Amino acid sequence: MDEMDARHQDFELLKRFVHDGEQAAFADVLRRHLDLVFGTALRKIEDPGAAREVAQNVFIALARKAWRFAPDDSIPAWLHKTTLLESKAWLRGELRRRRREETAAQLGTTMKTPDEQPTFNALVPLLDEALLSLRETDRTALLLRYYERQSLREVGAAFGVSEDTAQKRVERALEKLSQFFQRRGFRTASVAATGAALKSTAASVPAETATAVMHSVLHASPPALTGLTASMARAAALSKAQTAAVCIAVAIVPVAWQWNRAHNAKKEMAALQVKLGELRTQQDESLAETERLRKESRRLETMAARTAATNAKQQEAARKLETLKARSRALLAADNYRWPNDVPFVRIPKSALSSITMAGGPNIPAKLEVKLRLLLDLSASEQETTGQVFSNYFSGIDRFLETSLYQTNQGMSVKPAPGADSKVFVLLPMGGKIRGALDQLCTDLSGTLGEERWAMVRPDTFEFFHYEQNRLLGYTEFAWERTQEVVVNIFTNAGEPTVSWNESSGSGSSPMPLRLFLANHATPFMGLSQGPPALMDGVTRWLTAEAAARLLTPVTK
Amino acid sequence: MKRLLLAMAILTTAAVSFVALSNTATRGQLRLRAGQSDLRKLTQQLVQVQAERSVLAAKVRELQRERRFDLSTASIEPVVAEFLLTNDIKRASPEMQDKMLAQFGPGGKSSANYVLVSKAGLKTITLKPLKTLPDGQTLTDAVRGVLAITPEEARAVEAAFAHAFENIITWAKAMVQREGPSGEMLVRYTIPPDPAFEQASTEKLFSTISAAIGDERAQLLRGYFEYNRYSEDGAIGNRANILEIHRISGQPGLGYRSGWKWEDSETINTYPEPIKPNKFPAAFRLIFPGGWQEVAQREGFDLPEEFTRKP
Repeated sequence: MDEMDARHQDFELLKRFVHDGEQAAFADVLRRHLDLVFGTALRKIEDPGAAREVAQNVFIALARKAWRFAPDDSIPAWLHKTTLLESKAWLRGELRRRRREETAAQLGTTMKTPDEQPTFNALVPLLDEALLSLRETDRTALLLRYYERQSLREVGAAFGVSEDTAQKRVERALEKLSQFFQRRGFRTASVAATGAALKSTAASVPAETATAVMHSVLHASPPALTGLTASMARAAALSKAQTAAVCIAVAIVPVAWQWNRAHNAKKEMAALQVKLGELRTQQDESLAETERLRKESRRLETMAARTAATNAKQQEAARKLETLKARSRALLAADNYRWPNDVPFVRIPKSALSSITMAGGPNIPAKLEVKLRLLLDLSASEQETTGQVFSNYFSGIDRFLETSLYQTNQGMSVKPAPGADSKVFVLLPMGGKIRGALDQLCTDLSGTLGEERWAMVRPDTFEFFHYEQNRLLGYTEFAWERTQEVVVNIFTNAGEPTVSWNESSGSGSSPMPLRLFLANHATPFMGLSQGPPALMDGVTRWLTAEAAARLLTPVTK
Repeated sequence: MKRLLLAMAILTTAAVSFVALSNTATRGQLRLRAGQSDLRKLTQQLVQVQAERSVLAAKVRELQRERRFDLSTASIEPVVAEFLLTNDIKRASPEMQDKMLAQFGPGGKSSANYVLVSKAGLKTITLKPLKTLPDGQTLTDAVRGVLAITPEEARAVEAAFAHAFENIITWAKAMVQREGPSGEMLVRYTIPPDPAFEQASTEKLFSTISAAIGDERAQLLRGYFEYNRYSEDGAIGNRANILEIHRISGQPGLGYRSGWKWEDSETINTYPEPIKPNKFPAAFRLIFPGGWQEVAQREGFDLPEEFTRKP
């Protein structure tokens, strides 16, 4: 036997026996382990003949089950265990009682136990039970070392380890065996005693017994396996890793297929969910839009119904209006015109327009604008143009007033009162500017309306200019072309702020309390009636501000 | 044995995994089929909703188009239309009269010789209703044209004015007071106010006129008459009318002051102005129809040379 792995040797030999029917290979296995089997059986049965029979049965079982072994299986361990089982079975047989006495007598011949070693004798009956309690590797190490009498080097080779490692493994196994006994009350079961027990119970098979067993086994061993049995044998011969690999290989396809189904279903579901989500979003948007359109449609239908009703009314109203227009046209064209009592309109001769003025005040531009709108049948564009002409006139007058009115502390023709806080308001001559603006207004209106219509509404120029200048500058004609001044004096009279003023025209006011000019005074001051309105409006505004500043703000001096 | 257990363990695990995965896959397939069914239903619903939406959108567009058309063709201002349908146009407010006139459109309110005006508008204007004295009872052409007073109506109205003036003249001659001379003032005539007389006289006058031309025109005519009489006859009866003849220091001729006075206001000129043939105070023409000549003859003063010249 070379140093190659003993396990693999057993496996290879069994493989050749199983697949090729090579009995020599099985005979090698038998020879390698017969001592172990026979010795073990002999220990249990204590009858060499029965031990031989048991050994035969064990090896026949090995031959039958040889296809089941894998390279990493321990044949010695299997043989030891099987032998013990077979031995127990045999002992349970009918011959047990009969053989017990003979066995007792023969023990002294077959298992000579030295008297000087009584310690391990007590261990022998439990020795196989102790071996079975060990892990397979430990048990195999002890079986090889003691019952097959292999060297430590051979034991190491069987496990694929070095000699030193094999020795350590054997020692460790012995230690565990010793502990087994010690746990059961064998206080003297030392490692040495345990080793001696093993050594002493090893047996050598007699040559004739070996020959007989081999013959019987080989005769009863099954033929080489073929077909399905061979395949099963091959499968059984796989190592754990190979078995695992084969199982995984066998299982992975259906599992992978199902996983793929599940995965695809999940993936498709996810895609479907996305699509569903998009569709739901689209549907929600469409529903919202549809609802909005429904509401809009209902609103428009309501409006359409209302409009239809309005249209019906419009048509009815249009008929009435047309009747009214026809009546009005008839009024305009009538030769025998009479004051109409059935309509709120009358016709007036264009020849009378020049005799008409607007009631409620003098004939000034503002009144003229109203007259044009009332009495002339102006088109929309003419109304817009004449409106712009009047707007230009009034904004021009406002600009004249802004540039012609100012305040100063020293007047030309009026003097501040001594000891008073005084302010001089000056209005530069404006008569010419106003007449110029009025001329321009008349020219523009004449251009817009045409000479014929302008002649119908043109005001008396003298009266028109006169009233407008009065409105702005007052009723003293001589003042229109002169600079006008007003000096306003604020002084204290009997402890009360008092105001008086004098105009350049010579008129003036008697002193009056400044408080009259407070905006919230019980009887608010209505304005200054004398003097040019444009000038006196400025004076009134200034006095109102002064009254508020002097009378409402606390004085801090 | 161990290999068998290992194989069994692996195969059992594989079988359990297979079953679990199979169940998962089956459930996934079922959910997938349910989802696909949902998808089909949802798609069908969406198609229906979108179809409905398209129909509605088209309908809304059509309604909007019709609405725009309706709005663009609504020719009459709604408030005017409503008024025309529910009211008597004779009772239209001033604003509504103007709105109705505006509906006539450009050129619809005038002809070559006439212009249409609302009756309410006639209340906002004024015009001289009577000619200047001594023809003070005669209606002007303007007022006859504006109020459409026929010749027959004019005769009745003018007769009413003539009668009223006669009464006023009689009253004024009875009530006029004379003062002077005093200083530079030769004489002062005062026709004192008598509001009760004036009120009664005016009411009677326009009652007669109403009977002749109707209330509507009579009220308009009264408005024009009262607005103008302050400048025409000094509103005799309503105001105190004064005429003073003065010597003007340093000048050969005479001057006069005249006008009406009422409470704190007056229109009497401050400085005497020269006596001119064509400027005689209107109120006093009722008492002195001969004007300055009659006054000069009564008071015994000479008029300026220009009174003797031929016009």
